[in-house]
Amino acid sequence: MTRILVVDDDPQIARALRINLRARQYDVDLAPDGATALKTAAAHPPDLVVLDLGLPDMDGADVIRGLRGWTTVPIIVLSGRAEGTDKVTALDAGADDYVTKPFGVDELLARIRAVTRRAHTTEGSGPATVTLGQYTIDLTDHTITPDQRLTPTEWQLLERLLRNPGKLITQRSLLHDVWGPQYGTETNYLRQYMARLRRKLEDDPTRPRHLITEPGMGYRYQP
Amino acid sequence: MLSRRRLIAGLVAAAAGVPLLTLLAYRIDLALPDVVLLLVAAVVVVALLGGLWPALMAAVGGFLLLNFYFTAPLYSLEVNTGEGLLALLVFFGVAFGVSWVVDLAARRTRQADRAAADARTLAAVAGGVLTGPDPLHGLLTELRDSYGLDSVTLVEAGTPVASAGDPAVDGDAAIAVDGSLTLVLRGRAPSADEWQVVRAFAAQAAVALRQQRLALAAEGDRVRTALLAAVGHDLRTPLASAKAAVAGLLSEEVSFDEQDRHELLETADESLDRLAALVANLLDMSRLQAGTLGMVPVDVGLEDIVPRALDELGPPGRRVAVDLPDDLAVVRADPGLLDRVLVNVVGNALRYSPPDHPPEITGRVFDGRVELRVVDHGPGIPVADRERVFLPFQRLGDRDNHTGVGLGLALSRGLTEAMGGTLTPEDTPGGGLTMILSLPMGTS
Repeated sequence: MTRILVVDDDPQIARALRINLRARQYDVDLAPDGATALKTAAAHPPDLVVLDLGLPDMDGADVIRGLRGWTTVPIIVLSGRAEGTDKVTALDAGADDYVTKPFGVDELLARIRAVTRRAHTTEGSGPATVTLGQYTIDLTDHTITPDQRLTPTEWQLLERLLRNPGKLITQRSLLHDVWGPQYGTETNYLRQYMARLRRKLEDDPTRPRHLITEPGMGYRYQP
Repeated sequence: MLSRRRLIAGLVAAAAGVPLLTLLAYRIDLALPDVVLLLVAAVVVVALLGGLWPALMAAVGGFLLLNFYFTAPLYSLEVNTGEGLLALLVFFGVAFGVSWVVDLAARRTRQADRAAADARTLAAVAGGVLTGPDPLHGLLTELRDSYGLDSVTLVEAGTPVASAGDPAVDGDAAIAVDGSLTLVLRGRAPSADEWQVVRAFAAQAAVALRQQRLALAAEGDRVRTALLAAVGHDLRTPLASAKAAVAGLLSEEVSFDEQDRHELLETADESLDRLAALVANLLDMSRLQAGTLGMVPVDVGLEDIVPRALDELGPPGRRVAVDLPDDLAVVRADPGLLDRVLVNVVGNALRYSPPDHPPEITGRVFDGRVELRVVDHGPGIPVADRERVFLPFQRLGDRDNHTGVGLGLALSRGLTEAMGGTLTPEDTPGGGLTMILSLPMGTS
């Protein structure tokens, strides 16, 4: 069973999350503050952490750093909409994804599935074929049905996204992985290539359903 | 002091009149007492005309001429008779005394005139403070005009708060009013006897400033009251429906069939969404007004922001037609704030669009900036009301429950301007409203 550590000082949110997650067969630990969270995580290592950024005792980013000191457990951050910078700080500190409050439970569950799936598939090879709208994409053979030609860079970019369904991939890590370690700020490259991929693969490139931009943060493949 | 013109007239009269009269008297061979009387009369006339100094000049001149032409020994400035000496001394004494009295009277009259003028000015000033549309400015203008100054500035803690003419923090004279207020005069320094009135002006200006601020505060209170009422209504409505739905579901007295249960839950969910949207706007608005808006401008493509905003608008958002050029330049903006702006502006366009004619979004680069146009084909807004829609809580006659507190456009403009952009309304050709969102171009 997947064990989730929910860190939130608001008892109502904690309760709602506990009930919703348990109903979906997750094991749930609750922690009302950062210190308890770090202690609980050490005593019962979780498979996933859901962390509210507005904690009474310490900064959310410090909790993330505290966890990252010894574990690669996926971390999903809950943030208020106004704390845009906090969100980026949290991602930089090592969080895997974020959900903006007020959030729908479905949205949170989708994120949870996305990051836990990644946590399992990084060890294996992952799925060989992925569907994106009307296209079936074979990641091993690099073929698309119905036929659609992609350049090598487009392939790399697409593969990086498709291998992590539902998961946020930051601009920095995409640039690193696809263009090379010396790249990190050339977000206009990403914009151009994502626009090309959308024109080739999305039904309506102006309203992408699968290759989603998280403005200022990164990209996400929405299955 | 008498005017320069009168002074010159007096001097001319003294310099020309006295010798002429003496010459005339000498020619017709008048007796000494008659000549003395004649010259005393001349000195009085000079005093009336030119005041003390010309009269004194006339008196001295007369004295010397009398001495020379009429007292023995003649044609010398010596006097050797008691009669002659007496006549000369009496002449000089009378001439001097008359000059002095006449001059004093003239001064008094002028002072009285000025006091009356000052009183009139002060009365006008006091009246203006209570009645005029912009009493402070009126007051400063009055001061500038009555004393022939270039500019008058009311300075508070080193910053100009009001002025007649160009604002200046230092000038030819400064009058401290109270703690931090100073009235700065530029053009000339007031003379000693003008100071009193200028000080009164300064005190009045301070009162006017205080009054102006009180009026602003009262206006602010009125807006806040209206805001509270509107927000109260718009918060309570979705809260009430969500509460009613959930309380119904919790009730043990009734049992709902599956469809009713689902509908109640949907009601609660939608109401809470409305509540969340409203709270988000209110929070942004208060952050904007408090100047604590966290803003991180980055280069973002409108093609990334627009679809997200449309998604947030739910099913109606899908009807909006988007036409953005493939090579449209990126904008420099905070993605979250830009999203809020678009949700509000497009939401507004959708609200007023006829069902069969949804809004359109187009983009282009214009004059070094990126312009996004949100075009609707609704009723439009008369030009006179255009700016009013950007005030909080204006709904232009629309009173239904779905339009929100009328905060959207005010907030959108505030957020846009915080990002260095502009939001301006325009007519849609053929009817409707077009909102033009202009943003700085990105760097990449």
